[in-house]
Amino acid sequence: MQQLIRSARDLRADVFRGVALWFIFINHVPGNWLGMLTIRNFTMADATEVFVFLAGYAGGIAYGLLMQREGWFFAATRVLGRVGTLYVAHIFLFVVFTAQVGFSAATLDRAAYLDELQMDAFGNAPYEALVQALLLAFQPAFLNILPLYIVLLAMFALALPLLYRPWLFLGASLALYALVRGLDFNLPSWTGGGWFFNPLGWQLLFVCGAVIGFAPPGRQPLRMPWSPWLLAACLALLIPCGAAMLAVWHAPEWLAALPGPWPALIDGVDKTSLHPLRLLSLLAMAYLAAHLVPRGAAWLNGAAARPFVLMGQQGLPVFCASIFLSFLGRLALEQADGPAMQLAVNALGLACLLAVAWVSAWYGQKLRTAKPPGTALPAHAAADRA
Amino acid sequence: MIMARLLLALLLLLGAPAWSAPCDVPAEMLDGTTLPRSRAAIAAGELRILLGGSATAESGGPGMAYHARLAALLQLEHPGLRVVVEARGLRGASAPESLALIMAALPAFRPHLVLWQTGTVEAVRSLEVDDFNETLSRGISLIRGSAAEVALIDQQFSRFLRANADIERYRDAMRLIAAAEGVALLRRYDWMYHWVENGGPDMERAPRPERAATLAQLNECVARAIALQLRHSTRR
Repeated sequence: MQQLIRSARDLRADVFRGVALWFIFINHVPGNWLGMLTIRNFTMADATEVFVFLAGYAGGIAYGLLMQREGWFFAATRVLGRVGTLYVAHIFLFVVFTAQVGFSAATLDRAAYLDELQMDAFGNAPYEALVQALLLAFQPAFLNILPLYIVLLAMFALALPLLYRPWLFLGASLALYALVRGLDFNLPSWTGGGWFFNPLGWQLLFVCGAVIGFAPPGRQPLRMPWSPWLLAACLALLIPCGAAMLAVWHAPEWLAALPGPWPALIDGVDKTSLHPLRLLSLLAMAYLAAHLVPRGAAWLNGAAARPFVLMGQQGLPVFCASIFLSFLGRLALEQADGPAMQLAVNALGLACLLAVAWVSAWYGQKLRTAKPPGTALPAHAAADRA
Repeated sequence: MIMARLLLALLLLLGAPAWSAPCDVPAEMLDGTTLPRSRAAIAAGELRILLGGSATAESGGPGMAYHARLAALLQLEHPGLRVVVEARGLRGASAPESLALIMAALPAFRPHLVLWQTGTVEAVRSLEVDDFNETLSRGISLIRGSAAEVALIDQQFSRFLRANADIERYRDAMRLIAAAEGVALLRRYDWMYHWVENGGPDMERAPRPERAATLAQLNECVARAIALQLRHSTRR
């Protein structure tokens, strides 16, 4: 495994991304006991925030360098190629989801019990459901991160040149975020309301990652320097939020008894358009991680971290696989959810994610080393894996 | 805290003869919020409860109405008390719709306690969580404005729902709102899951000929669990 890891990168970003991908798998399998241990239980931000932020970070580095070398149009084309892949993956997963609903309905014979439910919009209006799914306006449960990622990358392809002007990029992104939140604007959804994850709000997190990742020619990437005051500010944000989240899950009556606006505040923390507390929580965690974990920390090369580093480096295929595997995990837990099945789902799930990462890394490496001379493709294979 | 636990254990023991084994409710699945207005109503001799929700609260609905059993159990527990439990439900009613049913019934019925059973339809139809939150908060203050107490009843457990709808997000929403507003949350989802795990009624595994009997048993269990929660919330 070690020789498949590209160690010239910032392994810290890779390991956290790998863990986030694993958490995404876990959180997409309701009833999974490990779900009680993922970060969403004690922070405002969850694995989705980590994933989007680090996708921006990796994308900023990879596509920024590509743009520097080959120009904006080439880099944008490459990003749009990714968008195409993700779109096809999303439609594939939509078909899988529809099949899964049908399968579960048949096995559990729900008719007698859940008759008030019109679960599958697909069954009620199949043609329209298909059209709306193709337009990304119909996003069944658990299929909402991919559409977000698709739109984020498509916007990023257009905005790539702004990477050379990081403060302008950040300012424009913040302005859009503020505007969207202020106007309560969202992309339309077929089932009513807006998108589960509003890309126009979430783009700010992606852009934060991108400007932290990419160094414009002759400049440093944006950095927040180490300061005890910032450390104190991060802790002052994370600790009360963490305590509040723990209280929500384990002792809601304490929360209600607390003086002050805590309950109402938590109540208003929306995920859809990335509430500022979620954004700040993630940035605070990133700040702490970046400064408290040294770049070359020994454990990053240790046996425990290695699988996650590898998964993080192969973000795209592992992400798609985690969504797909979560379908199988849900089906399995639907049949039985005792300790044996819990162990099987989690062990197999992680093993499959790792296998996907391994094969993808191996193939990428082969592509880079076993190239026919004179083609431009292998040089970019590295960037492609972002 | 320890006193409360002891008291609860005692209550459970006292209640024990009434339980048929498969549908007990562990103490940690009861909500600690108190219902002082209902307690006062019981002391004063009349308790009116309004149950509002979707199909499972529908009077004369598809065999799921448990409110009659709840009334009977409360009556048994408080022989001298005048107990009236009314239900307002509609198949497939979302939170705003069930709230409208509740609000329509308030002026004439003037309940002491409103049990608002919701969240399943939201999860099934993937309705917006933010809207759901907003409806819950608004509903709670509207109902409180009528001088009634309110408690929420959360979703039913079902493997099908768990696998095919993002039920956790809507459960989280209800837990948060209940904590934020300081209202009791009756954890039907946890109860039903506990019963399923411990040989109690399990609609999704019941063979077809036993469906009706299982449904009756489930209704009995839900009614008993609500009665237990009310006993717990109105204790002195």
